[in-house]
Amino acid sequence: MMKHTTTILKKMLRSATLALAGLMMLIPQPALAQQQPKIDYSANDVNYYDPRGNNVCGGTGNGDSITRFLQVLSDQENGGKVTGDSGTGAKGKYQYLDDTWKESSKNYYPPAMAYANANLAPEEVQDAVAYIEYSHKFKVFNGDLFKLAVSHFYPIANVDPSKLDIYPPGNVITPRQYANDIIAKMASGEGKNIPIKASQAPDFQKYLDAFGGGGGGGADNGQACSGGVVAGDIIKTALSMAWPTPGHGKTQQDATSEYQKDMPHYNPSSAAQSNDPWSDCGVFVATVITATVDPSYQKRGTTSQIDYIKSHPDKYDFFTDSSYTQSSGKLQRGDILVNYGHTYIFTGPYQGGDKKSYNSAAASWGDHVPQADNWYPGFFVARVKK
Amino acid sequence: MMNNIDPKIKRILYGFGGLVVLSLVGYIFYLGLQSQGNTATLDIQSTVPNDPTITIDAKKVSANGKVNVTPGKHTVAAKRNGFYDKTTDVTVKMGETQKVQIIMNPSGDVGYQWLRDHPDLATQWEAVIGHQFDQNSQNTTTRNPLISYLPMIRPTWRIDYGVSEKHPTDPTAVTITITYGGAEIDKQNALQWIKDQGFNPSDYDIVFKLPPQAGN
Repeated sequence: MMKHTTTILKKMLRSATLALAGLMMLIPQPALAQQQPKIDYSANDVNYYDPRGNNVCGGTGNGDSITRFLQVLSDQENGGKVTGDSGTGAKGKYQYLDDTWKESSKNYYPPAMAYANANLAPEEVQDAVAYIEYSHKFKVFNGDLFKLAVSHFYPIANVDPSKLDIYPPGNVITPRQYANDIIAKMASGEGKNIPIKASQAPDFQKYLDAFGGGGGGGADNGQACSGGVVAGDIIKTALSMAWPTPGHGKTQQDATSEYQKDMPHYNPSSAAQSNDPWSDCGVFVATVITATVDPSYQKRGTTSQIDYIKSHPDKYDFFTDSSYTQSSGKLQRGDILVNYGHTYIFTGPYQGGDKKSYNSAAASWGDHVPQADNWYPGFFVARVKK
Repeated sequence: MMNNIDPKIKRILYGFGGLVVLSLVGYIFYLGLQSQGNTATLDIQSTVPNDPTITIDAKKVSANGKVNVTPGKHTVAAKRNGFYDKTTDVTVKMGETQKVQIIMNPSGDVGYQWLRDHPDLATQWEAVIGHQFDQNSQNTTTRNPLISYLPMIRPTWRIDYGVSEKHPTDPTAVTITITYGGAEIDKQNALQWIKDQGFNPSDYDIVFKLPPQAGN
């Protein structure tokens, strides 16, 4: 009797299982693992998008973009020193040459004409001149930050693009490098600690309004970028996925919450693998590049990733000579460093969570999840074409 | 025939035979112990690639498996088409088993193709290379803390770092390069920036260069 009952129960259970399986097949299933990751650009509404594909943190209006631009400009020029004097003619927070200072004062903020040189003017006056000048030019250039940066460094290159790649006399970078560096620094949040005090200058709003306003005047500090993936922005995305400190473990739980969320979303085939994808260097770089600029990037394995980069000259410049592999001199923020065996992202210097400085973000298989690191020689350079 | 022997002698013979057997067993046991105590073992584990030619002190052995050796220092060598030769000196103590993992660096297309064909094993190799990178990067930064602030780029000067020009084979030595626009004040401004970060320029191997177009 007992044996008979067990047989009946087994048959009932099997029928129920089959019926459930059949029912499941009729319900449409979201095939998440097979789907091509979709980049959600709508999540980047707080970021200003510039025509060259660079997303720049800036909040909601021109005013905030100009504030960020000025913070980075003064940082790039002389580290934000108000009384800075280069000794070669450039002076003040924005390193105005004396003649340029007089011209800009006259054109944009006449009260500044009381000061013969930029570094003799109070900080708020220097900020007021720069703020109104670059708010005006921002409109003239239709929001093109690249041209805005070039206009400060070597204006003639905006008229004659062949001059974008020359070294102006006495300088060590080209106008293109200068502008790209400004845009990358704006994205990475560099210079955020530099105050912009334009709104404290006498009659600032009156002179600003004469040029159609700037969208809110100079805030004391730029707005911070939001976390997570930012389309087109390798640096910010890499830094959001990696810990800002070294010394982390290798498991999923050791990764940042952003990486725990983003890696399975943008690199699902790697996430599904069992052999420690969370600490894999190639998986980290692939997740960043897939999420930002190239959804087709090879998802894992440095040898295959080099093959991919080499076979896509339309997407990547690939530099293998010693001037790139042995010195930081030609690196640009957002470069992919790769050799047969390891890969990581060069971000440019940033302050880590431990107040120390780092310039890269890397994972290392079996050692650690994505975290703060520093560039080390011996790596080819892959640069995304703009 | 044994039935005709005096039982007394029979007992003596049996006793003698038993003693001989016991002695033999004891001797074999002794030899076994002695043999075990005088050897050591190398556990060869070839990962990348998994089929190199392995020699221990110039004698060919299997690419994977345990090999008994005499205690002391031994030279394990690995060769394989497509990979750089690898030689490792191993010292093993009496009675000890020591793991010897063979991971070779690819020397060209044959090696790279092997990595493409063996993605799971290639991950093991990436672990070694990644670990080396971490160690080199950390040790270099500890020895030259300035480098984590670099590159520092200003319009008229920039500071970079790279492989040491004086000691190119030292993995943690670096040369700091200051590229300047041509004016002496640019050099001084760059050096001042280094001081402002809390570092002493004289602690570093610094070279000055002009930008490419201005000539070196």
